[in-house]
Amino acid sequence: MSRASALGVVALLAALPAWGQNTVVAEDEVSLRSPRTGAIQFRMGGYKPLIDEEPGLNGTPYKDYFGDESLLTFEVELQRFLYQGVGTAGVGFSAGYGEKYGTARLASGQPAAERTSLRLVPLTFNAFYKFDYAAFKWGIPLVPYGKLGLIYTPWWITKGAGTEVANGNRAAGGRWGWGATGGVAFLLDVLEPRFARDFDSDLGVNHSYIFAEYTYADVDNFGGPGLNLSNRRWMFGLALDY
Amino acid sequence: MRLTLVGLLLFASTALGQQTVTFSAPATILQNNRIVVSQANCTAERNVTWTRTGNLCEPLYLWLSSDGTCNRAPAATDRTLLQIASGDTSTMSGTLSLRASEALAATGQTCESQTTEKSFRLCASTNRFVGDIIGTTCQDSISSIGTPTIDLVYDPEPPPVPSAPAVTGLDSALSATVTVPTGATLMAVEVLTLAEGEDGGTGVGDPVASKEQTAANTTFRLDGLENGVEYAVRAIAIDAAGNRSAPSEVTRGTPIASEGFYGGYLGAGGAETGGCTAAGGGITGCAVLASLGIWLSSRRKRS
Repeated sequence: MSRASALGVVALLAALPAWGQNTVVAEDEVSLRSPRTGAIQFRMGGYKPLIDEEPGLNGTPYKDYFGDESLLTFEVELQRFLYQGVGTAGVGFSAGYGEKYGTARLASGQPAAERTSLRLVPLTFNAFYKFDYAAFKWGIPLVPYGKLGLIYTPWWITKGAGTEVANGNRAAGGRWGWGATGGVAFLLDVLEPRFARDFDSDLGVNHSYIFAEYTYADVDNFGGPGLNLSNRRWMFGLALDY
Repeated sequence: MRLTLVGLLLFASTALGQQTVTFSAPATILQNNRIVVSQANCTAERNVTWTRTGNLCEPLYLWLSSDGTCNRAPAATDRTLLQIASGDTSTMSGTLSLRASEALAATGQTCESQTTEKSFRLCASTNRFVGDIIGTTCQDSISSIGTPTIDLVYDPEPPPVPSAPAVTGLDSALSATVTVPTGATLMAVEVLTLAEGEDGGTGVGDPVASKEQTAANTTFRLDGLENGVEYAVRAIAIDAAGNRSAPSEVTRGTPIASEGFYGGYLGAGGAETGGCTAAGGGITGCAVLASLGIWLSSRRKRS
């Protein structure tokens, strides 16, 4: 064996452990990340039901009682990821609560000494897609997304100390509808990558986002008579992938 | 060996010195370490349990002090409840029955003759051990060894009469806001009908509604009244002993019909009739969505 060949063999033998070490390092990096299977979102915003747009209504009761203002609404959404490839798709369920207080009125139209309130619990089952491929592969921290969902909104109206009763009807019920949502989320991991890794290894939270989304919802029993809880609203919140 | 003996002596003297009596009473009768009784309950029995630790070198007295001091033996004007002899190691706990009438009798008073508030302190007192390296000795003076401090308070005085409540008419109800006088722990509000008085004027008739609340909650809502009918409303103060003040002056109020948002909505021609079934199987739908939520939240991560 020539000296050159011998040096070549020695160099190859010396490189083998390093090659193996590189492989181990790569595996360690993969194992540090916990599986990503779903998400939880917390959001809040104003919910202004389009009650006054109900066909056949000869007045603006919502505006008269609540000053045309929105209900402050909080929502929590749980998502399950069914597809993770070029973006992420899955299904989600959200539940929220919103209320608005106003002053009851006397027969003369003057304000009464009692308060009245409208309370809603928006429940939504949706399918969603978010384009997070660019965020994870190319480092662009913006994730656009969309949702399409079925909505059911239990509601009730109070006056004084209890649920209002008028014309023999108890003011409580539920309305069906549908809604579409579009939004964009900002990936917070880019601000503190090390903290994000710790968040994952300690708590299993893969990614954190803040987001803004716009919802177009028709909640009127698909055009049926009765309370129109449709709304067009912006909401803002925090999302955690886990 | 000598060192062990000294250690044992020190340990023994410390143990001997730990003479304590602990009192306890149910929260239903003990408020802020006070058991307050009214004249109506002057002869009623109030039970306090006690437990003690340590040995006795002199008798242990459990008694009611008429002057609030416990570091002495009971005097003739105090009410002795129990005396435990020195060396008694079997009587370590028990129940004391406190009666304001008996405590008053020791001071020469009766439930009727005592017209102002009078306090008696529940005491446990004895001579403490003094520990030292050559043995134990009994202190000459008597010390108080009972905890916590509990007072039996005889309160025959009703609280001051409250001022007339402020009344607002609600739908089939009245709202009354009261001012709490000093010493009141509860407030009561009564709604009475108005009746024609003997002098031709208007007086108060029968009570139709009443409510009691803690003094911290000064606004009352009295339901079940008739709209358009004028009522008389008065307040009564109640103290910790249960004494009720005389009723306040009355304030008149009239319930008045009002419409909440739903009434206004129906008045504007709204078609909503309410009810989950109005949503077309709403309860079922709600249950399905709730189930989906539970399924999503209960899904576990793969490890």
